[in-house]
Formats: sequence, structure tokens, C-alpha cells
Amino acid sequence: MHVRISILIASLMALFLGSANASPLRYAEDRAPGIIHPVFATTMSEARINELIFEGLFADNLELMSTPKLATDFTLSDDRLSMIIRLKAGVKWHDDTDFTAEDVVFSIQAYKRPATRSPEAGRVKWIAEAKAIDSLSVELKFVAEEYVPEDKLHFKIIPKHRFKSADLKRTGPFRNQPIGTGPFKVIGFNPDNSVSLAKFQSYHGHTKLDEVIMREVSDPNYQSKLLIYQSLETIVRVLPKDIAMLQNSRDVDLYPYQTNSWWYLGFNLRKRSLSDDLVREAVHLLVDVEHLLAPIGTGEILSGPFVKASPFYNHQVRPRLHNPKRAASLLEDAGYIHDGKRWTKNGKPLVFKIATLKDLPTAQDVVINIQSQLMKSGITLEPTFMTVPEWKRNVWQAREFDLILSQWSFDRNENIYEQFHSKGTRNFTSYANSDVDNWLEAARKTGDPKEKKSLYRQAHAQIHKDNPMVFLWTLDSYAALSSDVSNVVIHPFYFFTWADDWQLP
Amino acid sequence: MRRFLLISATVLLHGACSERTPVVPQTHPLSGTWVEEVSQHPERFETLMQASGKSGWTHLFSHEYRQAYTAFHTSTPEGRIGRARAAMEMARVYNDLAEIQRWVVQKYYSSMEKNPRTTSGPNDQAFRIQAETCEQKASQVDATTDEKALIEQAMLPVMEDTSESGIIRAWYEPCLYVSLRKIWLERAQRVSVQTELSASPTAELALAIFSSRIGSGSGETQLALERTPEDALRRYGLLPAPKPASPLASHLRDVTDSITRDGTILHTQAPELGRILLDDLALVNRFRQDLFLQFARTTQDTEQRTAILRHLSQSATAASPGARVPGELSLTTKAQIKNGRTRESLDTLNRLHTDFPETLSLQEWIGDLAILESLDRYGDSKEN
Repeated sequence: MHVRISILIASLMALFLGSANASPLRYAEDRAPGIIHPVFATTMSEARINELIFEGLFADNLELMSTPKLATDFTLSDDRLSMIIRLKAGVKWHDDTDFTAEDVVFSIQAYKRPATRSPEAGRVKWIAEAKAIDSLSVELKFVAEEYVPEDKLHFKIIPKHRFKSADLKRTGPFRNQPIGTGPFKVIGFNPDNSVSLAKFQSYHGHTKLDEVIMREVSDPNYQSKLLIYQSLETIVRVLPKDIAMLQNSRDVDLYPYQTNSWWYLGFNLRKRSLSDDLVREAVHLLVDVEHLLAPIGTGEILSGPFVKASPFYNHQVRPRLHNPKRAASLLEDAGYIHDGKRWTKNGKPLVFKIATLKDLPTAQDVVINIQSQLMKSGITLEPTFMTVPEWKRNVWQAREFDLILSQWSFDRNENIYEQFHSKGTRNFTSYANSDVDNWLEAARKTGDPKEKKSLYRQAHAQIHKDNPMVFLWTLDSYAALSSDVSNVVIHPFYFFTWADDWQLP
Repeated sequence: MRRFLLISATVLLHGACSERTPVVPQTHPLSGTWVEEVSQHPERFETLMQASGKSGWTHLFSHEYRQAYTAFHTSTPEGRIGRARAAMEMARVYNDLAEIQRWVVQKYYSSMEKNPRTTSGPNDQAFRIQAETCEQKASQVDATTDEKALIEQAMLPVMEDTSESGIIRAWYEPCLYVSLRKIWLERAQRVSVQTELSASPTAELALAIFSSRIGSGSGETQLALERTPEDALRRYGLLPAPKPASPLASHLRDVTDSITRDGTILHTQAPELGRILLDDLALVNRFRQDLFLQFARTTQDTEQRTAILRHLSQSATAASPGARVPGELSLTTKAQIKNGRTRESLDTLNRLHTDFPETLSLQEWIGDLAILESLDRYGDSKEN
């Protein structure tokens, strides 16, 4: 307790000292972005900060329609197989170099190159070829007919002159010296993991805020207190238990920030024991989801890979209920014996390694509770709390884990292709079902909303049946801002899309 | 009397002020309201409960209008007023849902026409025509219609077909809420409030309790679907609506503070039972919540609607944490759809679904529109 209070006082002092000069907009993230590089963005904190620094050719307007950002307009060919995009003149990079068509072509190549291994490569897959016609015009040729290509041109553009080749490396120097064309430029990575951004004076649009500071406050319990003490202006995700307190403060405004997020406990299907349907089913039935959710907040328990309000959620499919008796019987069917204390097969105890991120205290609490639930039934769980580089290496690349606890956030399209298609780049569990593959492919292609809805609902039912993960819950989610910040409109996914309009007195 | 004079003076003062500087009554803003009456004269509250059926008021207080409608006694004027009020609240929610549905169906088909990738088949055409004849369909229902049958029918697709790729597609009833609105409106209108008011001493309290109504007003017209409690909104400087949004937010905070302060004064002046009622039922919060809800209704077609609804949402949650206020949810859904937040409106409507499962058909329509609007998007996902 004393340690916590000391940390809080220290944080407060640091933040007060930090706020001595201008009046910056200070926002808190549980975890600082691992990297500021749109080609390699994998987390929400990275996506949010990228929104302040980088821009795409198009972006959402306030009504969430695609509107030109770095582009001015475009012409789509009659056969819908190509387009010519005209770019805004006078746009500067943060180092005052001119933005040109070459940057657009380079960015598309960089995302596409296999050597880059960009987790965002899917964003440009539909582009067969990109060519600069002149310094402010680009021609794109498509893989297939496109109807509303501007809806796919939201990916961020990066500066060609800052790279030696389009084969990018995640560890390259750009990650520490990022420059974009957006309203704010990075002016410092600070020792306390905070990142300072200043208004870009040559920005081609308008910006009302002078400075933005991203602060890492890893214990979300403190974030609300810091907001109340006016040591922060923004919390992107309020803990459910703090909502009432913030609602009663006249200095704070709450904003719904539902990013279609859900938590899951994933099984590595490459592991021999977990490739057995009976074992996965048993583990699933031993997890008491309701009791795991209670200590961390209020939300809805899910049966598949969509949130309940989603048009794609299949309400006919019910979450599995906690059932230790049935689990025991399944383990016996799978050849395991309960020796009074633990489950064994051929003399070997049933032990799983479970991984989650080190800097996410809530996730660590959930892991410890799962460990306790499974231990009661005779299954040993060995938790590993990984740093971001370890997570990237072991989960994203090597798929070296038994179980993982994590969370996915989706924009309003809720495209689960990358997570559940056998070729998906984020399919950490190595799930593969040819029917699901076909449905996900068909859902991407169809122009019929009712058909797309049915396809995803079928996929939901099948994935639930195949059980590659325990779908846990979606949490009620709010952002909180100081009432001093005016003109606030929050993008439902990227948060800061319209931050250039926000104002502080 | 002193309170009345003070508040009158404040209202007069407000009348002399400009739109830009709305004035919040600083002294006794709850004067003359049912909050004052119930807290200072709890025996009148008890009489009302006995006369009309306590459980009816309990349900009305909890925004369970359908249950309230059946729980009120029909043998007393107070019970009949309570019943009429519950029916009117149902009609208001259905009115919002009917408007949303009309808007969504129109937008769905106009978006389909604009996107060359989508083609509407004969079934779409049939539904489009059907959606245009909702009012005509509603003319066939009245207060006695079996709404259960209507709702059950609407919980399932009214038509299904199989697409060229062998996928089953479903269409849902596009006219349900217009009919339900008519049923509940007629149920409410069966009670002549004007007549009931003169029949019992607590009838006026029955008309106002748990609302933002200040006096009994003009009876029948005050129960109308498009009710705007002008007296209350004017008292708190909310009519005409202050502009722009920023002073508005601060004005709403002033209103909140001023009402809360007067609630504290009422608490000190109240007898013990009055204090218990103020505390246990959070009566002051309830009054304020309804005030903001009515304010949101009057401003739903203005640019400030989102800011007002956000404030209402905070106020509603503060008034009754965890409670779902159907009027707030239906208004918010409407505002989100009008602001282009089609997918996000489903998050709000999903909360209404628990108490109004018949919103299923609307969810399906909105879902189809949300998918249509982002058919060509790539779709992004990130960890945490």
C-alpha cells in the first residue's frame, strides 16, 4: 500500500513538474507504443499515436465517410481496374521536405514487400501496381475490380527519403526518428517512457493544440486519479470501476469508446495435447469466465469472435458454461488419469505454459485467476509474463506458447480474416478449417450485406465448435477527458483522428 | 410562498436575459416541483401509493413501462393516470424506434442504389414498397390489438431466400414500431387526464411524480407524444437552447449543481420520512435526469444533440447506476445514426434489447446498413 502511494505521489510530482510550461494535452496509455512506425503497428497504443503523426491519402470525416487527406481527388477508370489520384500540393514532412507521389509509391511497395513482413500488408494487397505520373499524381492498378477504392486508401504514408530501400526493418532507425505529414511531430522520447509531440508549424491543415504528451501509466488504477488531480487531460480507457467516480466529477467528460474489443484465451493447436479436441473442450469447461470477469469490470461474455452488438454475432450460439464434471469425463476420454491431485497421461502431468504481456496488470490478474481455477481441477498452469519484444518473437513469429491471454480490437468492419483464416497473419492459434477459410474469403468479396452477415454468422458457429480459443468477454469501454478540452469528437477506433480540432484554453 | 416568489423572480430575470447567457436559478430551483412536495409532505406520497398501486409506481420509477401499465389500479383516477403515463412512455420509445426504422430503411436502399457493387433484387424492391406503407398498416391496429402476436411475428424473418452463392438471406419486418406506437398511443389516450385531475387531491402528483414536470400543466396536452415541458426547460435556461456547445456544457453543469444544492436544502427541511425518500429513491437525480431527457428531445434535430445526449447519459447513470433508460437509449441510437455512426448505434440499441427484445428486427436492419456502408473497407484489428 505504502509503495503504491509513493508511486502515485512520485507520478504526480513528475507530471506537475512536466506541466510547468505550456498547456499540453496529456493522455495516458497503459503501455507506451513499442514502436512508432505505421508499417509495423500491431497495438492500439501504436495506432492511436500514429493517428497524430501520420496521414493517409484518405481519412474518415466526422460522419465516417472517406474524405481526401493527402489526396485532393481521383478518377476511377471505366473498367474499375485502375485509378489516378491527385495529391495535395504544399504538403511537408516534419523535416520540411516536400511530400510527393514518390512517397505514396514507396509506401505501397514497403507495405507489400515480403521482406518487410508488415503486419499491415493486407491493406495494400488489392493494389497490383503503383506508379508516380508526376510529382503530385499517382496511378494505381488493381488486382480486381474496385468500387469504392478510397475506402481502402486510409493506410499511412511514410517518407521515402528516410529509407534506403522498400525492404523495411522493424528495428530500423525510423522507429526512433519517425516523421509524418500529420498535425503533430515527435520532439522527444523521454526517460519515463513518455513521448512528446509538438504542433507541426508547416502543417497543411489547422491544429489548435500546441503540444501533446503520451504518458505511460501502467497501472490503470492511477489514471483516473491523475485525471481528477488535473495531471492528465485524457484517459483512453477508463476502468469500469472508475466510471461512477468520473461521472460525478464536473471537471471530467466521459465519451463512449467501443472498439469492438474482446479478450480471449487462445490454444496453440500446434501443441500435441492441445490439438486434441477433448482436451481443449475440457480446459474450456474448467474456465469459469463469469468469475474471471467479475474482478475486472462489467461486460458481456461471448461465444465467438464478435462483440454482442455486432451484426455478425451469432446469437444462436451460446457460450460454454463452466462444467468441471463434464471436463473430467472428457479428460478421461482423452486418456488422462486423475491421481487424486492432478491429471496425468503416460505418467506425465498435464502442464501448460500460459503467456501474456508483462505490462498489462489486468491481464496478469486474469492469468493468475485462470491458474487457480485450473489448478483446483488438477491442471498445472505456468505463467510467463512477456515483454513486448518477447511477445513479438514468441507469439507473433515463433508461435511458441501453449496458451495465451490477450485482447483483439477491431474497427467497425470486424474483419476476422487475419485471426481465423489458415493464412491469416494474426492467426496465433494456427487454426485451420477449410469451410471457415471459404466463408471468410467469400465475406470479403461479396457485395451483398445480407450475404456477408450470414457468412460471418456461419463462421462464428463453426469457430465456436472447433474451439481454438476461449472467447472471454467484451468490456464496457469509455474514454475520459478533462472538461477543459473542447471540440472533442473521438474516432470510434483510432481515437485521435480529429484531434486537430480539439482545443485547450 | 417565499420560495414561489423567489423562483418567479428568477424566471422573470431569465426572460430578460439573452440566449447566449442562460441563467440558472440559484435559489430553490426545485420549488413547486413534485420533489419538494414528496420530500416535505411524504404523507401525500403515501396516499398516492395506496390509491393507485405501489407496484405500478415502482415499475414506472425503474423505467419498466410495460409492467407498470399492467400493475396500476384502474379503479382510481391516480391509477388511471399512472397507466396513461406508462403507455405514453412506451409510445415515446416506439415513436423513436419507428423514426429510426424509417430512416434506416430509406438509407439502406438509397445507399444500395449509389454503390454499383450492390444490386437489389425483387425481394428488396418488395420490402422497399412495404416500408413506404407502414402508416397504412398501422391504421389496422388499435389499443386492443394483441401486440404480443405482432412482436412474435417480428422476431423472426418475414422472408428468406438463398443467394446465388447458396447463402441464406433474411428480411425482417419494416413496419413494426409504427404499429406499436399506435397501439400504445391509443392506450394512453383512453384516459382523459383533464377529467381525472379534478377527481382526486393526489391526481396532480400522479401526473408529475418521477418526471421533470413542474406543475400539472394543461392535462391532456402535457401527455402528448411530442411533450416538451416548457415550464421546466425555461426555468433552467434550457429553452431556447443555449449556444454554442461549450457554454452549453458548462450551463448544464450549473443546472446540475443548482438542483443538487436545492436538494440538499430540501433534505434539511424535510421530515424523517421525506429524507428517507429523498435518499433511497435519489429523487433529485431522477428529476434532473428527466429534465435532461426532455431537453435532449427538444434538441434532437440540432447540431448539439451529441453533446446533450452525452450529458444526459452521464446524468442518467449517476441517477441510477446500471439502469437502462429506454428514452435515453432510443434517442441516442437515433442521434448516432443521424451522425453517421451506424455501427456504433448498435452498441446502444443492444442495451435497449434487454427490455425491448422486439428491437431485434431493427438491429437486423441497422446491421445490414452498417455492413453496406463499409463493404469496401479493409478492416483493421490491433492487439489490446
